[in-house]
Amino acid sequence: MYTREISLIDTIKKYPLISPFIIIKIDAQRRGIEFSKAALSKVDPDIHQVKVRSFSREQKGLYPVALMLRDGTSIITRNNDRLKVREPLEIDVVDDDIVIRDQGKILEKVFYWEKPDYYDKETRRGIPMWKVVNARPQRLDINPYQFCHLWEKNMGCKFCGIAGTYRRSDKPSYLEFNDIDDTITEALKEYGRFTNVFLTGGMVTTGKVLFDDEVNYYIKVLEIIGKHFKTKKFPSQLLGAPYNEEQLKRIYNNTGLMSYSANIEVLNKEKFDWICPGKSAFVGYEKLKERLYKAVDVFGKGYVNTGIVCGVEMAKPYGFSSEEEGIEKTLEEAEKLMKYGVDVVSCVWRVAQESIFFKQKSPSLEYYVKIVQGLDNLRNKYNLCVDMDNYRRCGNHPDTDLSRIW
Amino acid sequence: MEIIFNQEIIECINNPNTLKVIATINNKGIPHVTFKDSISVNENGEIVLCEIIDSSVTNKNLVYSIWFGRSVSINILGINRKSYLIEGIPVRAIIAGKEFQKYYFYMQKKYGNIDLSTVWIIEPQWVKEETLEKRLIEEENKHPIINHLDRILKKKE
Repeated sequence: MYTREISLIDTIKKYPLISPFIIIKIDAQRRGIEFSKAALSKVDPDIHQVKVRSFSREQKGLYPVALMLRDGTSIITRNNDRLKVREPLEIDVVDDDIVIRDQGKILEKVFYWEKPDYYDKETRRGIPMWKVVNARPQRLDINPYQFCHLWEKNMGCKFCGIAGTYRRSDKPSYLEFNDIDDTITEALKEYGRFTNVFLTGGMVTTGKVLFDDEVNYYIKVLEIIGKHFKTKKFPSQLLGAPYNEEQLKRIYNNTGLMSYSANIEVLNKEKFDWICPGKSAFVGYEKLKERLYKAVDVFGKGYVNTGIVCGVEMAKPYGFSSEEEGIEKTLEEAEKLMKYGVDVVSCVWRVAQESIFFKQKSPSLEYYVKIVQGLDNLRNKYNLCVDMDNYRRCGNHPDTDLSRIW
Repeated sequence: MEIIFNQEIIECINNPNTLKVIATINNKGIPHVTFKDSISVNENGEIVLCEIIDSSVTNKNLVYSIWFGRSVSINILGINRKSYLIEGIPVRAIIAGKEFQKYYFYMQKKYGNIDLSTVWIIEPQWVKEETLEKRLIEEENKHPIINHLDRILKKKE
């Protein structure tokens, strides 16, 4: 049963100690956005980023790929899809400013992300570089493997849109090393733009030992990137499968990688088994947690985290029965991980039309506000540094946005 | 935005030899004051602060200010000993893009191989000259009743 929902504007009033910027961000992600004609007329493809290829997204139209608020907060969301599970927020133009509004009320000014210089260039074999490396405002995102072995076995996570995105596009399953090399070389020529390299992709389960092929592949990619730097380690994050201790040490010791994530997705064993059947079968909930603890020993406290798709634990019919219970159980479990030095970062569950859960509805805005506030408080309590996944890296975690002020 | 600064103040703020301090508060109301050499005025009459250190208290407090509409105070002391107090509100944190890169190159040219976290745009609300000589005259005119009596004693012959 969902709690009766209050509006975005009333939520901002009800939580005066939570940044209104972050509340707006959450709701824009939860509900999606819709551009007016005037807002679209402000898009300049020569300046703004309108194309993106990632393992979970393919866009090459005239819509901006994401927004930025006045405080530097990113809003990674999309033009509302045809399902319209919820009424989207509106992006419009008022007095020549691009604004985001709800129920006719202007909430904030917004800005479109600027595209990097390398985006329209091509690799040596003529592949547009935007198709190889995706850019966030300060981060280079590489998805070397763009499908997922779990989906090959029809065991993908129920909220995940990787399979649908992959099958609708013409993208290759694996990126070519030379394309990555060419694109990274070009991207790094733009001074003052990038502060981080991020690797992720679908899970690769094969190898001598489970995930060995994935580890070997990432090591190769990290070597290609690492050759550009004079320091052994460089600001980087790998969001990969939950590796065993030997694999974690191998990737840490042999590359410039500085931080590591493996997503647990849902903070409850029973819900995890239901929502993430592949992860449950290949690794299992408790083992995944143990591997995250081991990762802290290898990478250090503050350099390991796990992501949750916040809200999926409320999916029907096996999710938590009330929002109160969902909040309580999620934060209770998050604390266990944070106590060990594994940070927990949340993404807002945007119901993806390509996913098994496409008919579901995400929880209320208040639900998210309480959870992100709770995660921020726990992070503060256990003194976990959020640098590896803060607002200027991923930009997709409202709870780490809140950690900007302490 | 209303133009707050006259040419003299702009020149004073943009002079590299001027001392510039900014006072901010955190979410518990605790004040923090620090020298910020990188404060300047842009062509729109806004204050620009190039924050080098991402985890600095000033940077965190400026985020708090922009989130909740809290003011910051800036004081400058020019080489001619003229001083100005400015109250402003942070209106934008630029962390990426061509505008950011413009300041990134400027800071590297000025300070060498240095990083840049955020270009803060602060909208001035008001400015007041705080030069001591000027303030003393103002005080005497506005508050003539506040004075130590010995200062107005007749001189003994």
